[in-house]
Amino acid sequence: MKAFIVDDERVARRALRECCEAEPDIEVIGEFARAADALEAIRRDAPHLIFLDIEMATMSGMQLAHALDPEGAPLIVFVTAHDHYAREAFEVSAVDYLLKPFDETRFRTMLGRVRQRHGANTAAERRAAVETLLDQLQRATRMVAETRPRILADAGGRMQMIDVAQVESVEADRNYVRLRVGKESFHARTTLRHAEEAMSTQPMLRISRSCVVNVNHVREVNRTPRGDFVLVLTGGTTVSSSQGYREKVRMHLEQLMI
Amino acid sequence: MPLPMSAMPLCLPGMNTEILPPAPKPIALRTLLIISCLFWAYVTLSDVLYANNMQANAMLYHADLFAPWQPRVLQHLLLLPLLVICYWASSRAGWGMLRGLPLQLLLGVTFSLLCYPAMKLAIHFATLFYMGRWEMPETGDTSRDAEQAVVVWSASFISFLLTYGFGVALVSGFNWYQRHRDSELRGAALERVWTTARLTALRMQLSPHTLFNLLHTIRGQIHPEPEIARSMVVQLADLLRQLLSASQRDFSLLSEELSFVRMYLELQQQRFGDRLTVSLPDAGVQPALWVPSLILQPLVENAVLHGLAGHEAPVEVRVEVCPSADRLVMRVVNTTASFADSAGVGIGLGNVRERLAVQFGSQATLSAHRAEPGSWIAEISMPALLEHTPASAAGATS
Repeated sequence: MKAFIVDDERVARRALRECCEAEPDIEVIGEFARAADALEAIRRDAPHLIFLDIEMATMSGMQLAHALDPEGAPLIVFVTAHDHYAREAFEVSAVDYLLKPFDETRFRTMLGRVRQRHGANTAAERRAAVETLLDQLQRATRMVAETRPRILADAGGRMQMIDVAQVESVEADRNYVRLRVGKESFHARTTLRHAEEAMSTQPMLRISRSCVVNVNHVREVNRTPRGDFVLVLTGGTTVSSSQGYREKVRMHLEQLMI
Repeated sequence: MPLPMSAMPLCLPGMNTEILPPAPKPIALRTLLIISCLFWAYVTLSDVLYANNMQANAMLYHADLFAPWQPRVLQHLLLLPLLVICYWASSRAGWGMLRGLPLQLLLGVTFSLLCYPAMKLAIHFATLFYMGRWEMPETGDTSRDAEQAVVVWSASFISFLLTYGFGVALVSGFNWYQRHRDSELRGAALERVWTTARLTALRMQLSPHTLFNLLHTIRGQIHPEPEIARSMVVQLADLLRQLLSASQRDFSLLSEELSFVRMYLELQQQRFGDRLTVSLPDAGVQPALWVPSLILQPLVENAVLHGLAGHEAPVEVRVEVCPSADRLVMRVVNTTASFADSAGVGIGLGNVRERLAVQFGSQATLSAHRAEPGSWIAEISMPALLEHTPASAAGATS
């Protein structure tokens, strides 16, 4: 397999090259520090495999992957220090995802999957390769779901964890905050501010001094004659914006519609 | 130092004043106006009705009593601004023995003394605007008239002083209620801000010494066994990555917590070689229970250090997890030198205990004690935290 290495760090490129040199079927035919140079060379030389760093100065590896023609694109292995790109990586049909730093064992495991994909000629082999990929994607998706913050809440004396993605709205309620999940509501012993922080993976919109809404769960938007917004949430609860936040809500909703 | 550690939230989040209710303030002028006006309207009405009542009674004896309603209403109207000023001053003066109380008395007396002159003024105005003609019954005798005026004045003084006092009680009562409520809210908000700040501080648990010791071990492996050094670097990176992700969240899955502990113990095993054996439950088969992030790590770190200290013999560190219907018990057991005392059962335990108390109050406990000669147990017992799912909720209600 002809391979490219794209990374803006010289030492990182060397580490990859050394790993590749130990493999008889991998031949590194190009090394690039800039994604733009690599893009040109990929179109010209058509390598089978590229090792692609994601975070680079001018053009990111992800942008490079998006710029490639999906037909006849090389197999992509992202090499990065960040684990939060995993899902995005599989969305641009990368074969694998290698976290820095890696050792020989991980490199070989990764290469095993690359070979499986590269050499998939029969239908059964292709199915196996796709299954491996699906499995990886599922694992990445599950990891995103599992690392999403949870909030400890109290439902009638029983403590439960609430996934922030399910929370429809958060309201300050004296010493607590009230979380709305569907038709139920829970009390959490925290501050509105802290809850908002915990909810930061969700698109939150503050509609009054004491209420924040998860925009993912807004089902309907109405306006009163006075101009206040009345939002209907997935669970059927209605919440309305206060006068002070009316303009912010309007601007936010207009942005969403564009 | 560009270690990933530096990216961790080591600093406390600033006390943010935005969510705190404002500090207790004396009653607002608007509220004071509303209360005084309502109160005064009530007083006016009751005074007029009372006078009318007296007039009706007096008519039975064919006596003509001085009780017209127009000048009375006018008198109360004239007194209203004075009343508001007095109440405003009273709400600011407070009830201190030295300054407050004399001032309150002075205000009350002044107001009540001015009520009779206000009546005279009201009669004057009423006459001026042809609303009717009323005169104080006069005898013609100056000394008797003066005597009479003093009697009426003092009667008016007493009745208005009582009325004034009632109003002061109303205003101060409201003021006190408001202050009490504000300070209570403020106290609760402060407590919550403090709690969250403390949690953030407590979450960061891996001791820097452990990190430096591990780095030193890796350094020592680079020359004789580069393969092992490389894999240790990768393991350490995994550990730091998970530490970073866990320190940004309040809770993690039990399986993640166990796999973190496993990574940590495997690295420590590389450090101490054959002296340290570990036994851990399989992270893959654990129920989907949630635990405070990195709650086990200090216990395990403690078990390793405590277990290895003071002797040369091999040490076993064992982690056990016993989930039941509504409780989760996690145990870290280590063998120790049989003569080792419990001194130096580190600061880690205190942190764990405090974190449990902040999250669960009295519903979670940490106990650490000697089990049998040569073995030490640290045990966390906490509520079993399941994730809320709409399906499970439906099942619970049906």
